Amino acid sequence: MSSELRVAVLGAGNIGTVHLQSVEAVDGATVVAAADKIPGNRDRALALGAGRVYADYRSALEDNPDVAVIALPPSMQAEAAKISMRTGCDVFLEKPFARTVQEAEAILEVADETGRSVGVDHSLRYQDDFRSVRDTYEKGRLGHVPLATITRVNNGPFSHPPVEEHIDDWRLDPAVTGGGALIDLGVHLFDVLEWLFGDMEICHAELGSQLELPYEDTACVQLRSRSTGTTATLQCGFFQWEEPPDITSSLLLHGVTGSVDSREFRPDNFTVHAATAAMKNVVRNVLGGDPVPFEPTYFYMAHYRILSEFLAAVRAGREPPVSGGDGLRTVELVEAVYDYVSEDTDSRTVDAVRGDR
Amino acid sequence: MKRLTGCRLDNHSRRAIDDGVRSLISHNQPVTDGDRVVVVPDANYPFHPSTGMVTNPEVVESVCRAIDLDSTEVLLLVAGSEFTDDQSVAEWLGYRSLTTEFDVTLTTPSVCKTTQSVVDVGDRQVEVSLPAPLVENPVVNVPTLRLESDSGIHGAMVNLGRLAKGEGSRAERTVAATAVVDPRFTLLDGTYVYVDQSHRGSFLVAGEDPVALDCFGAELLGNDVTDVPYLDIAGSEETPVEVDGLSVPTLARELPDGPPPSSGSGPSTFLRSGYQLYARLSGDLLPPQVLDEGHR
Repeated sequence: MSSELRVAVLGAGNIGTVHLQSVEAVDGATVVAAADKIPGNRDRALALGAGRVYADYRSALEDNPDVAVIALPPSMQAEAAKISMRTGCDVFLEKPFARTVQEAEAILEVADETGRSVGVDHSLRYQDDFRSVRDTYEKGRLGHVPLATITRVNNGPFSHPPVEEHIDDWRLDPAVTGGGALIDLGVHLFDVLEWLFGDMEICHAELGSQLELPYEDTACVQLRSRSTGTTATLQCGFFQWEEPPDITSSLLLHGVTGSVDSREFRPDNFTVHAATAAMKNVVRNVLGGDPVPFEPTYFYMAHYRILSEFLAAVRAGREPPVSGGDGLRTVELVEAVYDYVSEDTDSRTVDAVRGDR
Repeated sequence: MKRLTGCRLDNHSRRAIDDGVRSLISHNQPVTDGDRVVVVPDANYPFHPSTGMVTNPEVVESVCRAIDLDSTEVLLLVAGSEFTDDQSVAEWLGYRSLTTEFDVTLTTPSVCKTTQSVVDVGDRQVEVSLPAPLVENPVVNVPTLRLESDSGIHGAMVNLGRLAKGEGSRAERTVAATAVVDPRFTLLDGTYVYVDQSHRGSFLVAGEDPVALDCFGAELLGNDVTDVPYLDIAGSEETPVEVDGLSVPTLARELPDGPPPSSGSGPSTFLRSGYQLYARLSGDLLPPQVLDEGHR
């Protein structure tokens, strides 16, 4: 490995652009190549510092990167990861880690064969609000926690009014995505629950759709921790208009000595938070220091943190902070829910829930 | 004086909507035996019907139930927008399923022939192209009522006008389309209304004259008709409206206050410029949403 980590960003859409900039902000790492089939995305990647850009991700791997950051549509991720590892790259994958357990296991098999590291962008672990909840729990402040609720709802592939962007068709194709809200958002929530409570098992699940979509836009899953006995409710959905920075996301733990809610640890006012963080970064820069990347955005900062820690782990030869094994677990839980719902006639499936009209 | 008829719905059950729609249809007699009618909902985007941003498909379903389908051929014309294709939005909003429940035919502008028409709009001649079925058949227009930043209100006329392509301003095309089409009956769906927020309006209003329906809508949403470009062109100041069965002041009092949505989902130009300045001063990274056009 060269002294400077050479990184290829495969997929330079929205989150790929965040990763590209994050790499450029990490000392000792540089984006030598980026790939995206959309010309505008390639132009943007070039303008933001990518050494070279390509339409086909395989071409980017010919520039001998050490690490491939993969933010492609889910149907392309597994293949891209396997090819990247076989060309000598450690890989950092955007979520979902894979569409199926079979795909996830195939990625890990190639990792074993090649000895490469696999990381996954489960960035909720790196958000201050979720970290604070975990810290409170880990310090025993809540005592035993019998009940937990975790929620994430957004607008998925759709916009709120006034609409200004065309819908990305692939985001509504379950053959590409592997499923709906559960595999897109639920994987983050499964990851946080296992980060807190260890292995979880599915007790019950209901999936629904508020429109006639080809997958679930609503999921409610009840899980139980094998080790702590905690019963958790996971809720996620694609049905709500989201206007960042105001997002619907929460983690609530009810323990025997008290409760804790992630929203207590989030800025009361994101505009004030952004202004304050921006001022601090300007001062840091004036004093000759480095800004904290993406700090005013709050949520993108978590993506920077996890990617920079992954790159540090690669450099040090350590296990990645969120590994491919963690990614596999989230996909196993998603698949367990889909299996449960398809087998259990008491669980409502997509067409049965149309909501209040 | 233009007269409209309306009703409040006690609830949003199928029976309540059916009863409301049936009473308004029987009052207006929009179709006769042997007709082929085109039903036009507002299906501009896959918004959930409870937002008021699209026609509630359950109202359209009630229209289908109220029409004698043994003697009337119903063509359901579903149009998306430049942001979503017609076929997909028809499926997502449930209109494709409707064709399996009822003997109605689903069509979309993308598969229809078009008809060119030249219309006098004020002192100008405006040429518009419309899906041929709209021009060749009586139309049952089923818009929702919503505030919109461009047109002021989006109701009966814009629901037809948005299907028109051609020259002139959007307001002119809206007026021209309304003149070309024979909207035999307009049923304004107020089950949900979108102002700056979604609102459960629980009302239906019907009539033959789409201009009168939009004058009602403008009054309800607190807009002067002269401030609504297409109503201004249509000379609707001379169209006083009375609604039987509804109290407009009562409906208006129930509505939330506030302006229509005026900005997109992305940050404003001011915010984008401010963030870019911050990034230059601090050396911080730019989120994709605030990258300028050259970088986006």
